[in-house]
Amino acid sequence: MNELDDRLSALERPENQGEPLDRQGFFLLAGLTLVLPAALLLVGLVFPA
Amino acid sequence: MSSQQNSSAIVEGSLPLLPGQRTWGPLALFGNSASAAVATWCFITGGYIAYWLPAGRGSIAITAGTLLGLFIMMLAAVPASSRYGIEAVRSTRPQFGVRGSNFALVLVLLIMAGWNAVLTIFLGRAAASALITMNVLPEAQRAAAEIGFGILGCLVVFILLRKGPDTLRNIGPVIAVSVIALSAVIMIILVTNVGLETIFAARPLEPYPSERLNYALVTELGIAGAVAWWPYVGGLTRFSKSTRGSILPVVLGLGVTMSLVIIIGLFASLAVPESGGDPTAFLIEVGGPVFGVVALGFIVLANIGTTMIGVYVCALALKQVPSIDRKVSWKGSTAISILPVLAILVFFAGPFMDNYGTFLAFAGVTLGPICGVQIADYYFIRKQHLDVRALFTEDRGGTYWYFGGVNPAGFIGAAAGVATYLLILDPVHFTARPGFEYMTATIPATIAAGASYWLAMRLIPGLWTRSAPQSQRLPVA
Repeated sequence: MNELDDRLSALERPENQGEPLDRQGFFLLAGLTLVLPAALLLVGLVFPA
Repeated sequence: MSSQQNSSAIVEGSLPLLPGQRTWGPLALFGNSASAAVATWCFITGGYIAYWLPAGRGSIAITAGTLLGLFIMMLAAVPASSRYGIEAVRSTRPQFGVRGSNFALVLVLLIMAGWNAVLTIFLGRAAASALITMNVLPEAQRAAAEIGFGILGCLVVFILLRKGPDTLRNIGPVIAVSVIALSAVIMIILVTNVGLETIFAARPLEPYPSERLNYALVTELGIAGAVAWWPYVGGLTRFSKSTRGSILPVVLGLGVTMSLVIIIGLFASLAVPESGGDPTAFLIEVGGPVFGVVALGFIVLANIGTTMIGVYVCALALKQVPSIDRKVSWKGSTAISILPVLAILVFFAGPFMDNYGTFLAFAGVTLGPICGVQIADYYFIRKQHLDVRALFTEDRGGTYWYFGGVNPAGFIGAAAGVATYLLILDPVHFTARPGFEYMTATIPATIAAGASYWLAMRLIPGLWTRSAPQSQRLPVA
């Protein structure tokens, strides 16, 4: 339990937490997995069947 | 015990990881994502696509669908894992409650046991078929060989995993590079022998009359397939130091690599319809034992790589149960995770694979709504801040205790998502209702789950005030 307490105490300090998803990260994710596939789907619609 | 073993044992408990223990760089994360994504089932998915779409549109729709699914899944799974070093099941406590998160645990254990069984059955069948086609084994020994190779696969996974995640970090990228190289070789052999023009001219095998419906079905297959990686990605990205740093390796590893291998299955199925997407027999026919060895190498590496990560995620989920975490070692937890896989492999492989479609549907229908609930909770209610101590507290007064350890809003949200999905698409028979071809099923199910969760959190007395970040809480009179 001491090990868990130590870790939780450490993780409660912001410097020990990983970064949150910031604006740049969100735009990277959205660009790769939202904008790109949307564009692909549009290309697919005009792709000869 | 050596210091390395000590560190591994600590990392493999239920405990959150501190920054110094999050040692995976982009290569390890990419390697393990790719290693998890690529397995024989990619060929089977490619085989499904060939029923509905030709090569060009099929390749586009499955790639786009997979990427869209990654958006939902990564938004839900990655930030909490990367920020607090926790795995997927633990990250559901804020949404479902301390006791309610056992729902996610049971779901993950069932889905992972199912996936691992599917993979080992595929491994056994494909390896036996390859050796029989190469005349190394007689046909009479097929059944025994299928079970034997499956058991051997489980044994290899246990040996690799028994010491903890260091194996994943070291072996994942090697398996990924090998599998990608072998995939490229298989694609080249296929295209060289059949011809790209023939593949692109081939008609889909049994398309529906509506072009849009065929297109949407394949897109949905990609979305649901990517969302099903939720437990895997939560377990892997907790080793990464940054959310942003996790994005590109996971998108490339899961999205791009998986799509490429599924496309091989699509091409194989269009070129040789009786293959069902699996190019193994075709490769051996055109290239003899040399190509057979290539195919066999792919089958063994790809399926063992995915099973290894699947068993790891399952063992990690088991360790989230305090009583199991106290009493069972990491090695024991790994063994327990493999046992149901062995039971299915030896006793129920036939009936299990007969219901493979239902199993896939179960995974697809449930995980999208869970992602929706998590996204609504993490971004719109908690603003990316979790009470990390409460995640590991079983006390009745903890932040995530709610009502008797259960957050009803989580279950309302998940139920709304599942109902929405089933209203739009029958996932067992792929019978779609009007509107499916414009919005798919997983996307509206995810949105419905998230919106219902948010509403339930606002409307059920007591939930919002204890969950919103300090700055948004209403002053207590």
